[in-house]
Amino acid sequence: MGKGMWVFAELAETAVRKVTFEILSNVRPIADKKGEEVCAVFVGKTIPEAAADQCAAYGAHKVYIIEHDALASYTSDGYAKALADFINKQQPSIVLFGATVVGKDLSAKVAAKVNAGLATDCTAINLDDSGNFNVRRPMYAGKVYADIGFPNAPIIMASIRPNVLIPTPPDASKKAAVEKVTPEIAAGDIRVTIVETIKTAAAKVDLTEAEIIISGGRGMKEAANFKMLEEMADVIGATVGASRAAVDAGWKTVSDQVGQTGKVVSPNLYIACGISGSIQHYAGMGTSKVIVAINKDPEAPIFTKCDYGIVDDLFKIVPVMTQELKKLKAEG
Amino acid sequence: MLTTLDPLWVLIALTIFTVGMYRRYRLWMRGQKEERIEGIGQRLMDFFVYAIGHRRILKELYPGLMHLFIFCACAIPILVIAAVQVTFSTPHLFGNFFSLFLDSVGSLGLLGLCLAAYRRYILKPDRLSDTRAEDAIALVWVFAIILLGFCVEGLRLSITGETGVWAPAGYVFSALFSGARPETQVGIHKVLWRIHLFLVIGLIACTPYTKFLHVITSAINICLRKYGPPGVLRQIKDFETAETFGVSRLDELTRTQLFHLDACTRCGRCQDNCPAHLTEKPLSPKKLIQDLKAHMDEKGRVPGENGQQTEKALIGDVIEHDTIWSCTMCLNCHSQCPVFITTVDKTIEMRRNLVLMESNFPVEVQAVFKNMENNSNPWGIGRHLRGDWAKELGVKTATEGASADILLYAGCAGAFDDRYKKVSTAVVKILQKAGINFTILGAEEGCCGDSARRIGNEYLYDSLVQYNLGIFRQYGVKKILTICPHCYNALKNEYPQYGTTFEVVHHTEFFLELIKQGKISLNGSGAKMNVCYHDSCFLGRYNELYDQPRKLLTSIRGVSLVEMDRTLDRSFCCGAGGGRMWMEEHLGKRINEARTEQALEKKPDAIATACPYCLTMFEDGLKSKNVYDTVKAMDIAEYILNAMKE
Amino acid sequence: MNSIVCLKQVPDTEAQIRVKPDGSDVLLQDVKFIINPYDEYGVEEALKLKEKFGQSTVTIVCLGPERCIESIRTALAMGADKAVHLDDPALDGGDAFTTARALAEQIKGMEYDIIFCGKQAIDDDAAQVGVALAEYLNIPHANLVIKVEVSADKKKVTVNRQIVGGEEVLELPLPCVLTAQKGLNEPRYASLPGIMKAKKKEVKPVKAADLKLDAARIGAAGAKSKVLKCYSPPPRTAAQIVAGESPEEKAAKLAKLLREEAKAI
Repeated sequence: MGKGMWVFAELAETAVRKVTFEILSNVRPIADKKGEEVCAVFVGKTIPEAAADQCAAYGAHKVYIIEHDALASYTSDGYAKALADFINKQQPSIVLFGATVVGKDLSAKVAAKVNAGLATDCTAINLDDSGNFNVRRPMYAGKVYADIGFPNAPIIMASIRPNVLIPTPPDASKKAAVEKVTPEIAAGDIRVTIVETIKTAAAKVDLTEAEIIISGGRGMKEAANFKMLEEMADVIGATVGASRAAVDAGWKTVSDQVGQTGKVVSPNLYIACGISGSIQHYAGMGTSKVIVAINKDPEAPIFTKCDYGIVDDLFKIVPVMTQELKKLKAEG
Repeated sequence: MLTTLDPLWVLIALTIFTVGMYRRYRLWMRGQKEERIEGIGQRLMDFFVYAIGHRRILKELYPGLMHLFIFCACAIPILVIAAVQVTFSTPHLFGNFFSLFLDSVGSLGLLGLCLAAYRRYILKPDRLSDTRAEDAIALVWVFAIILLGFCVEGLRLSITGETGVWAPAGYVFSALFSGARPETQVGIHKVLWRIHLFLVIGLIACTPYTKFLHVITSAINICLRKYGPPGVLRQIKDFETAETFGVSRLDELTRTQLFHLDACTRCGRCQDNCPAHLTEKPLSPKKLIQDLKAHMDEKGRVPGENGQQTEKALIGDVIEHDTIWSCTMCLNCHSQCPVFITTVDKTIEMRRNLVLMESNFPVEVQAVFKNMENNSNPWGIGRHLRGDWAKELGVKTATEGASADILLYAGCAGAFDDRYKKVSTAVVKILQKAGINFTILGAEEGCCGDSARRIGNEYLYDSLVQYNLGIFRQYGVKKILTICPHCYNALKNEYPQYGTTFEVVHHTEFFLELIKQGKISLNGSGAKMNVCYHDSCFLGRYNELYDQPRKLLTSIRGVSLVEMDRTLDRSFCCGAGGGRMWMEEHLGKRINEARTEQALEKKPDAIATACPYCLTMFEDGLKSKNVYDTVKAMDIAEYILNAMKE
Repeated sequence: MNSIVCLKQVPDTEAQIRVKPDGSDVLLQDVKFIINPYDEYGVEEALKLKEKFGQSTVTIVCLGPERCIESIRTALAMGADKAVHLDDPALDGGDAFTTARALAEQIKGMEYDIIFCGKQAIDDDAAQVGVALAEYLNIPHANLVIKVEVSADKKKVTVNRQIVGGEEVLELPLPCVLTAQKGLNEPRYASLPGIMKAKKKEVKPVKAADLKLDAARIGAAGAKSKVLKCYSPPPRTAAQIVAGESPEEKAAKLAKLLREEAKAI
């Protein structure tokens, strides 16, 4: 088994994703126990100067920067080749990724290339009593959690769910050694061509694919009031949906309808505003991870199905919440 | 007065008649064979009660009497003539009273024809919107026959100088001719009599080709009606071997089904009571039958030049998809048809074809099918949660080894729908208070399959039935108490197609019995309350439970019933039957809102239902009418429990 | 245009998943099994390509125990032409990579232009097999695909895939592996004649020995990650009704809870 605990450092445009810091600061104590180094690994065309220091502040001993013109945009082929070649060369013991779209794709491909064991979407990392690295992860859509071990793996890999591990406060005084690496990428290595990247405004994301949905029902009273929900949606990157009653009333179109006879959705967060929560509606959103209800009727069935509820006038709650969420977002 | 040529004319007329009838017969025989011979005696009775006796026709007074008058004016003289042929005696021998009788029949016939013409051409009710030239010709024709009959009689009176006391109408007509000389009168008499005769012979000849055909077909159709609980669908047994399912071609209908098409006189009572038609959906039962008939005529046509018959597809061209999916299978058209024509049996076969052969159905239905397949309920809630509704109620489940005389079948709504769980809970509490020994199946219960079946997925229905039968057998179930009328109808009337013998009761029947036995006593606050009861189609028309729910409600102190205009066997569907509960209502006005309006017209304090679908539809309706806070809709079980508490 | 669809049988989304008393594994008794929904999108897309190009074969490749035959038949009823069932206890208990390895060995000998997988199976939620399969077959892949357009010459495919904040349009040479995401299509409902025909379609059983793979590389022996212990999460608690003096206070509290406790924003 090799040495070194690596964290694939992922960039969103030019900023390092928060999940990278979450992993770095949580893997550091483990590395310290095992007496190994924590390394952040960047892959790209040009990595911003500040990125390495940020990683250091969260616990990285070392920062590898793998740069190549062919790595300007993420491709599985390019990134996996660059990273796998370097892993083969350096033989780290552990490589961790954020369980993001890129992280999940890359980790699977690299693991296949380097014969690693891989656990996806983990919510905890730790060392057991005998000093073996374990992870905990949900399975069956969260109906079961499992501790995963890697008894036969020459290299251990895991992707870590964002927003779960708590990052330690950054220490800007810490510095890391930075090492630039130039990968070998031949012309035929990247077989996939990126034709176009389409940025979709959150409002345009289809309900069935949305991560967050804010839905309005009969309690919205009129079409114009949906603007209120749209404002909140803009703040948190949500898509606005509607109950059948709201669609019937003509406030929203049929394509916005959530429920038994509309769209069946399962976002991470579903906020029901002025929706009583009949079984017909529930059948369309019951598998949402977190359900929030805002309704002035305390007897509304939605309150027996939600995780968080506010019994109050939605017209008073929603605008305030939008402001509060804005503040929280601004805090980063 | 008959000439030697007359038998020839009659022979020609009979030949034309026979050829015409044979051609119709050939069209009917293109259908599939079907056994329907049971109960000859009953069928004969039906002929006298419903055909001769006009029982259903008279359900509506104006058109009923109108038809009865015309019917008598045509039928009775024919009988008399037939009697004369047999007895070789002249009408005189029947006596003066008989003469008076015939005279009145004829007069009423003319009145009936005038009423008919007034109705069709002046009143113009919506259901006669498809008036054709044929209708006018028929009216004028029969009118002419009767009128000429009177003229002939009048002339006879005038010529013989008989008194008009026993033939007052004839006497009036005799005045018409009184100015003419006797010889002239004889001449006119001869001419008019011959015209009268030829009109009658002509009518016989053209019967198979015109609406007069209904005289024969409608009467026979009455005698061909299906007995047993109405609305029971044909079972598909040969899933493994059959090549096609349902009906996509006319000749896949049965002979009786094709015969239905010729029995329809376009009276339109069906569409006047059709919830789909009355809310502007593309379905009128009358049009459905008439479109099928037109298609049958086209199909029956001699092949044209290219040897091709019509290329029209039954589903899509002749009958639109939306027509097929608009039906709520409420059975109102069946109940109103004076001659027992049915439509649901045809609609379901077309749905079956679309679902089983083409997988072509409203998109939202696919999830329902999958949910029923995987979790045995239309919402797809985990089936292991099915027993949770009763967890706090101290009800023993069969799984736990409890045995009881009665199995309470919660149904999907009673088990999963928060609103209807309150009803199933009320039922349990009533049973417990009455000291009834009962059990439930808990998580082992499955969906009864009614919606799957009525949407046309007989294969899924079959698998749901098989599962339930296994469970019922395992626990030796002998008596089932249901809450939902759809479960009730399925278990009681449709499961016997699989050979079941258990007894099935609905909670309204059962509770009324408990009251009679003194096992539950209702007090009620005595506060005056006008309750409007809405008949569920599956309780009412499907199972004739009209009285029980009403008696239950009125046994609560202070409750008085208000009836909607459309009530009992004319009750207007809530819109959720026939699987419509699981489909979007994109076309026309919402049926549940129309029904809610009908109830609100009567200014009730509350609404009572006995069906989960009806309750949902009414609550939605009350919400969209913005009266949800003032007019409550509740299931009868909830009313009963409330009255027991106080 | 020959397609292969890798299919996994999984417990129904609503099924109750209990943990064995010793925590070693989950209990799957009395559980209704279905085709992994994401794999079903793959089946549908393959059928669509068949309809578009004609002259195509859609082959289902499924690894799993005997019970999987029911799901295989369902895919055949939808319209797939034939199936290969890798059914051998020796293949059980592996991880995504032993599965992908076995699938790759099987698929190597087959004719195909495109392979569909689900983006993940809804039981282990690993989201690894499709990517690893492509790697083992040495062909490119695209993950989270929501639109597929195969060129007329059947040489390349243009796909839209979901990425953070939008979509990415990629062009891949064929053959390749595409993993299906929700939104790609709406899988059809099998017709009854389809169901009956499916009973007669060829399902080729394949054993571990047929794959000629080293025993140490398949099944539990080859797995490089293992479930050590399973837990049931605490039961869903009753709704937390956010209380407060004023709407402002309630709203602020809720926003904070969503951020910090639910981690949903």
